[in-house]
Order: sequence, then C-alpha cells, then structure tokens
Amino acid sequence: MMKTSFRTGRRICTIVLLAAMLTLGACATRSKITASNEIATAEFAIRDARANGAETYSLERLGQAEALLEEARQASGAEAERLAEKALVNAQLAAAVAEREGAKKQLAASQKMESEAGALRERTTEAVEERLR
Amino acid sequence: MMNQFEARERGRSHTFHLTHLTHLTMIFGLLALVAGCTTLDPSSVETARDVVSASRDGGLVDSDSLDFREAERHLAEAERMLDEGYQQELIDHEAEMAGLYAEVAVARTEAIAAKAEAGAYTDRARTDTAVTRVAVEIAIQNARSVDAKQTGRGLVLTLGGVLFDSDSANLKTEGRLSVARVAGFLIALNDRDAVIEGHADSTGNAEYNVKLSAQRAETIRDALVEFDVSDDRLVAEGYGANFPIASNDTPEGREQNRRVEIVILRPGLSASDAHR
Repeated sequence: MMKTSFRTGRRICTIVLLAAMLTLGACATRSKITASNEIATAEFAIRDARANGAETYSLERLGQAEALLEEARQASGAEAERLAEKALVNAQLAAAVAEREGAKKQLAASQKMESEAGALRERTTEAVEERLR
Repeated sequence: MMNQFEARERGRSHTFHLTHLTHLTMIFGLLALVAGCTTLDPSSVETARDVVSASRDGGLVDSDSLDFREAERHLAEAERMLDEGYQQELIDHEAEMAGLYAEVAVARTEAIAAKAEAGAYTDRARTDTAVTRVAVEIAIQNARSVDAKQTGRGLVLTLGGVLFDSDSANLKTEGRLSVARVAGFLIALNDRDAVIEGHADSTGNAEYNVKLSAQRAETIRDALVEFDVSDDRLVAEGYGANFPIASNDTPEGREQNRRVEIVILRPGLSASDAHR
C-alpha cells in the first residue's frame, strides 16, 4: 500500500516537472521569436533610415539605433525585445528627421527658384511694356 | 539521555525561534514592499506626458497619425504600470518610447508641412515661368503689330473698325485674331486689371450708339475670357460717340471713331474704379 502511493507520488512529480519544463521552454522559445522579430524589424528600419538620408541629416540618432540593435542582439528575452523596440523607434526618428531636413532643403530650393522666376517674369513684362511705349 | 523536562524546553525554544524567524521575515517582506512602492519614480512618465501633450496642444502633430497614436499608447501603458507598481525599468522604457514616438510624429508633421510649402513655391515658379515664356513670345511676335500707347491711366491698345460688321456686336474672325494678341499682353502683364471701352461714330441715335458700343465691349471681354484672361480683371463700358479720336465728318474719321480700346491699367489701379 505504502509502496504504491510512493510510486504514484513520484510519477505525479515527474509529470509536473516535465510540464513545467515544457512550459518554461515554450515561454523561452516564444520570447526568443518575439525578440528576433523585433530585431529584424529594427534592422529593416535602420536600413530604411539610411536609404532616406539619415547618415547625412541624423547621423547621431542613427548611431544610437545601431548601438541599441547591437545590445539587443547580445541580450535575451524581454530585455532583448525592449532594446530592439528602442532601436526601432530611434531608427524611425532618424528617418523622420532626415525626411524633415530633406524637405526643408527642397523648400529652400523652391523658394530660390520661385524668386528667380518671379524676377525674370518682372523683367520680361517690363521689357514688353518698354517696347510698347 | 535527555530527560523529559529538557526535551520540552528544547522544543519550546525551537518553536520560539521559528515563530520569531517568521515574524522577522514578514516584517522585512513588508518593509521591502513599502520600500519598493515608495522608490518608484514618476518623473519619466511626467516628462513623457509633457512631451506628448505639448506636441498635441501646440499643434505640432497630426493627432490621428500612427506615430502619435503610438506615443499615446506607450504613455497610457507607462501610466498603468506606474499605478500598478511595476518595475521602474519597465515604466521608464514605456515612458521613453512615448517621448520618442511623439518626436517622430513631430518630425514627420514638419516634413509634410515643408513638402507642401515647397510644392506651393514650385507651382508659383512654374506659373511665373509660363508667364515669362508668354511675355517673351509676345514681345518677339506681336509687340509691333498692335496699336498701343502709354497714357496716364495705363497702356491703351486700340482695336480698329474691322472687328465688327456694321451695326452689329458679333466679332469677325479677323477681330478674334486681334483679341488673341491682346489676351497675350494681359496674360503677360498678369498683375494688371483692364478696362474695355467701346466707342461709336456719331451716326444715328446717341442712345443706341451707347448701347451698341457697350455690347461690342462686352463681346471683346467675353472673347478675352475665352483666351484665359481672368474675368475679374476686366470691366466693359460703352461710351457711344462721346470720345471721338477723329472727325465724324469724313468716312475715314468715322471708321477711326468706331473702335474698342483696351486700357491695361497702371499697377495699383483696379478695373472697378477706372471709369472715364
């Protein structure tokens, strides 16, 4: 009688232990997958930022994103996820700053073009009038 | 061998130690919990809240943009974590994310605004360039072929008597060519208003002549509008035989008097207040 209940107890313990190990393993794998997804997204965002001129207009922010991405690669679990997420938003900020600075440059060029075209129009229309006098 | 008394005493002492230890553990646990609660620093959340609301209230962002919504989501998460006593590190992370996303939203909004402004300048430059091109073309091809003179009111272009059949306000084909040339001038001088003045010779009823000359002026105005001159820059008037430029006693003089004059007004004069 004593022997049977001891065996049953041991069996239950083994099952519980196995279940716990499996659950922990599954959690670890899920966390690993989420972190690697975040890392991949951050890598893409950094490439995108660089393609949009972040190296010219937002080098410091781009550098921060790259450093955070490297840290995320070295870390694991939730910490890796957080670092990758931070790398991603820093890369997005670098891209947005680059986009804004590029647009400002384009604006300055358009203002110059408009000013020159306006001056040319005035000179030309004055010349037409002059010719008619 | 331990006697019964010693054994009981030892048992009591052991129980006392255990109870004491449990109490100490509980006290330290509580102290740790209280210490944990009191050391949570809300400053990162407050900073993020300031950044997010300054961006929204200052009109620096499109509050419907994905980035700004993401900033709000992270801020809400940071606030929730702070309320529920999460680890400081996690709260700070969410708060930092909120601030960063707000910065992204501001930068993107500024980029969109700068692009729109650049587009408007480019459009104006294109218009100016188009006007310049027309002006150059006019100057080369047409400047000498239109009868024009500078007066106190502005540049007066005279369209002769071949524009209309006798006693009619219908524009002849040759008349349309003259109107096209004048339209070129008006497009080139696009900051000027113009008055179209119809004149008649003194033959026939004076009242009728005023009416006919007004109809002819209106016909010219309509034709100019067809050639892309803006309607609100033009005013049409009929003066009958009141302002002759030649004698009405000879056929040649009367032909000269049957005319339409287009006065391209000096800068600052508007068509609505430039009547004779």
